[in-house]
Amino acid sequence: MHQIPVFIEKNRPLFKLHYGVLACMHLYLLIFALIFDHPIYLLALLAAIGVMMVAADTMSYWGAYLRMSTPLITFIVILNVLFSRAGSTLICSSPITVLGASYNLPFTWEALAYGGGMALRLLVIISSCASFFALVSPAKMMGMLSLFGARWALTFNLALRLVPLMIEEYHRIGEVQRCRGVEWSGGGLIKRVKSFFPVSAILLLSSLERSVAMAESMYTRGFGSGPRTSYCQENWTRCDRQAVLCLTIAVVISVGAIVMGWSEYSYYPRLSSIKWTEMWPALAIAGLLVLPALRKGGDLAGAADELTEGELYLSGQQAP
Amino acid sequence: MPLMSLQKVSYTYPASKHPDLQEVNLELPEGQLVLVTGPSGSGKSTLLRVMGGLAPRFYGGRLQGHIQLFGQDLGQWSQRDLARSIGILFQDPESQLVTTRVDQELVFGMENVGYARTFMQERLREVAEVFAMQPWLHYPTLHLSGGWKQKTVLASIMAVRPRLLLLDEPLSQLDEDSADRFLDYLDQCRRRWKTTVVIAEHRVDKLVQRTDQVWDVHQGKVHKQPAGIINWQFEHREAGARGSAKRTPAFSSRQRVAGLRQVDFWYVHFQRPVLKQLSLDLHAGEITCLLGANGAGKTTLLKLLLGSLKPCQGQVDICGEDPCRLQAYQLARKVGYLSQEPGDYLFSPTVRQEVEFTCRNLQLKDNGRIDKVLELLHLQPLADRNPRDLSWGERQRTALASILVAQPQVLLLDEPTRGLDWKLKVELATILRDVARQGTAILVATHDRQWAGSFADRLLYLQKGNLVDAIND
Repeated sequence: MHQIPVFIEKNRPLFKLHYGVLACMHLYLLIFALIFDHPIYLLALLAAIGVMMVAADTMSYWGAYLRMSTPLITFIVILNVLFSRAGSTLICSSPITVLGASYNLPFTWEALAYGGGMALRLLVIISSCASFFALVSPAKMMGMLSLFGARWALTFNLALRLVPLMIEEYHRIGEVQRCRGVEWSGGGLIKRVKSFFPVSAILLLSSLERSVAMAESMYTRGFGSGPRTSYCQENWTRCDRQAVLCLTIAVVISVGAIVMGWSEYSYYPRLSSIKWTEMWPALAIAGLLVLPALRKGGDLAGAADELTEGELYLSGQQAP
Repeated sequence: MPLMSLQKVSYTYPASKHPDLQEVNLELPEGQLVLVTGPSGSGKSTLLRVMGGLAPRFYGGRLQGHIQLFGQDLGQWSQRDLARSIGILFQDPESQLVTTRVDQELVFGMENVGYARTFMQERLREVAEVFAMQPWLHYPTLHLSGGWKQKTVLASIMAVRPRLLLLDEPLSQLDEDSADRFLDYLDQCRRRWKTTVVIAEHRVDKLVQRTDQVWDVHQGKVHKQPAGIINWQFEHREAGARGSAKRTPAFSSRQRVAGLRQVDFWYVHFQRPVLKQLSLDLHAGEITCLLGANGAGKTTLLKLLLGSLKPCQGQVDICGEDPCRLQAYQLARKVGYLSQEPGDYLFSPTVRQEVEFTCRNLQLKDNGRIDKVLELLHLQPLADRNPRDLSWGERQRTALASILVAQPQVLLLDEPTRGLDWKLKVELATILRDVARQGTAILVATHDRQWAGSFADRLLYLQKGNLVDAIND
């Protein structure tokens, strides 16, 4: 059974931040993950995300994303070690024959390190996405999207509601079709491709039927009858202002580090040495990013341990 | 002045050649609860759609006659005013939930009709109190049970406070307890807000005591009947059901074909086990009905027999083999499974092709097998129709045919009476009897005790993870 990460609101400070602040924080992480070259700076960003995830008690959510991205990350490292020939410190070399011609393939430490650096960058990008989706509720996202128009927000909300439903339906259809001899989850590739047709055709037909039923229900409930009002309203709090201040300082320090050239790192032809005196901005950035998560009530000991309704349900203690 | 009046109303869907509603004359007094009865496909839903202004606005088609709401022609009402005055609740709650969280769902209708935020807050508080939803306002709608989903949609509609509430088979997908609770909430709405209710429903037993008048729909024509008649019909039907149970003696060779031995099962996220040391034997030609509340583990038990789930402890076997280890083509010859959703089986252009698909998959030669199964399930006249165009009951029979054509030794059915009227239920029971006579062991998970009692050889009750013999009166 596939595990789909589901948003669960927790009683932790990060969940209470304004969606605008959370969006800016994660946008910062994304942009600077692409700009920073230095692995220490990338590690600092990853560490910051890690602390945020622990403080928000969303490790399982992060774990699900990491499990999904592990094959890709491993692939990047292997690919780089196999095909990059720019390094100069040899680990070993292997003779290969392609179309009758013999080659000597060198595996270098620099290629391995570069692959590791790229993997780290990808890890930061994936982790920041995971953190964003773990911390920003669909309701907040809808609020964000409503800035671009109510229909955008509703489309997004409907997608959020229907995608897990369709995944569930897909599994259910596959299960019942087994009783008609359709091997949907096992068997060889050809069998699986053949079985994909009936399962996906049923899914498509059912989705079309549901969309008509949903449109009918929305029509009767007045959707599209004129301008809508909005119930959800995000308030700007002191914590949000503090988080913005931390983020602004982090941005300033990051830009400074880039201008000074401290966040650069060259892997080829030889790994450049790490100047630890230029690494303090990385530490400062990480500290500033985790501050909003660790403010009053944000430390793990101080956070309320009582389960939210969602957790109660998932733990099987209570279900409506 | 009546709340709504219909004078010589006829309605024809765009694809129909003949009117689906014919010359309907009705008056609906304010504050009443009206029960709309009639067989499947008689026009009950069409009547509600016409009354709610959905037909022809949403569906197109041709409407004749006059419909007045509060003395004003329905055609002159704007969509927004209609949404404020008439609430419509449909069968499937899953297709009516639009948002991801309970509180968002409750305010969805109010946002659409443009209520102010402070007003919405007030209404949300009130509705959450009436429907006992306060602790669950931030709960994801995805994880709600069927009963809660239906309740959430009803609460969302009632938050707008419509004067007229139209309900199209709202109980069809709910178990006994959820249906009772749903009706209790409906009573509260009527008492508190004086809402007029028109409800089309097959499960009339639940509504006998509540109904002010009955509209009986047959082939698009509506006949008003006194509320008392529904009592008589209900009692008459009950007696018939008891009689039919006595008329159909048990048939079983006592040859064991499948079963579970001391099975424990629990889901990863749940701390308590769903099934505890459960044992069950299924015999050839025997019909066993499995009763139990929602969430008791009926579907889990069926899925264990189907091999979709593995027991945490104990053994499950189908004809001496572990169903988890069987390939699909082997499994299909041994077990047939009819889920709650017949739509999950249907994708072929015709009913016959749908049945042929199973044969092709299992490399079975026809040899009259397809005609035989179509005849058994009374599908011959529909053989060239698209299964997706058929009624719920016909779809279900098509799905059943697509399984039975493989001649499985064990047949599992999950809540097969969902959405069926009494006549169709009796028809299904007769079909299952015929299938059992051919030596198939049948296990039916259902919450419909009356129906189960009318034809089953054995009634079992699933309670606290184990089976208890239910008294078959």
